[in-house]
Amino acid sequence: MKIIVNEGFPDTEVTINCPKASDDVLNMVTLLQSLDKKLPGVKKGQTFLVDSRDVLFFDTVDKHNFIYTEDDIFDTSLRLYEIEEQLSCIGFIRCSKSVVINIAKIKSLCPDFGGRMEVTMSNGERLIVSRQYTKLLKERLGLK
Amino acid sequence: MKKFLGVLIQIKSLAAMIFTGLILAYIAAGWLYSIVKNVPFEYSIPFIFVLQGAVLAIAISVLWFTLLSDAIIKKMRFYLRLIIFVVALVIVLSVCFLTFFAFHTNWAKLWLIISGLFIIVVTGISILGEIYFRATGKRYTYNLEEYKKKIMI
Repeated sequence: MKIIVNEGFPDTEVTINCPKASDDVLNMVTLLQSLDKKLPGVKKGQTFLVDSRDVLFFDTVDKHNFIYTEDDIFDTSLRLYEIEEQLSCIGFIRCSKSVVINIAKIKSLCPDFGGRMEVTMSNGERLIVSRQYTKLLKERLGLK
Repeated sequence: MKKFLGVLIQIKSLAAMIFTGLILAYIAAGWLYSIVKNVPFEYSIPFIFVLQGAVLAIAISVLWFTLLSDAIIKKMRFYLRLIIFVVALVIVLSVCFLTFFAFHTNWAKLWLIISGLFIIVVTGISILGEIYFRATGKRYTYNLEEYKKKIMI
């Protein structure tokens, strides 16, 4: 991997030099594209494109899905399983039946009785990872 | 309505389990009493005992559901919920015993000592558990930071 810093460039450019477009290369492209993922979110009747990197977590309440950022909450028509599928490669993980969290926005972790885990997000919001998903989160973080 | 019925079913199931436990405890205690005191084993349960058992089972299951099931209180640390549950349980049991039976002063003293010890032991275990979890949490948070560094690259 080679990173060339060129201050004259207006934007970041990625060039992949390869003998053929193998599955690994295509996966790399998908991953790079997903880094720039924007999600449609509705707030007070207006639609915004929310940068996935700004999202703390997604929550479902009474069959309505919400995007939580540091300062805002947006309504979204995306289903939780769609979000999980699209964003798992950039550090999003399911933590209960109704919540998908952004690992990059977790401030701290603390296990609790009953195999659950308490997660504190960067804005201080505390979420509970259910026992079923605690195992997955620990595997993802390389914890035993 | 659907949610309410769901809650009711959970409380009923818990109450049924607790009631079964109380009846089994009554049978075991009666059997032991008959052996220790060398008196014939009584094969019947007074109806008032069954009613008292049902009231107690419902009260405990409501407490359990409210404090420990995650259905109502979701974000409070479990050790705090456990301590509150135990204190509330002792209060409910004390109220039931005072209402259902005419307590002798000696028994009341014994009950206070046992329930006090029970609260102290559960509180101690809960706090020790919480200290352990916080220490583990620090290790997990360290691993999390390492993971974040990896995904940032």
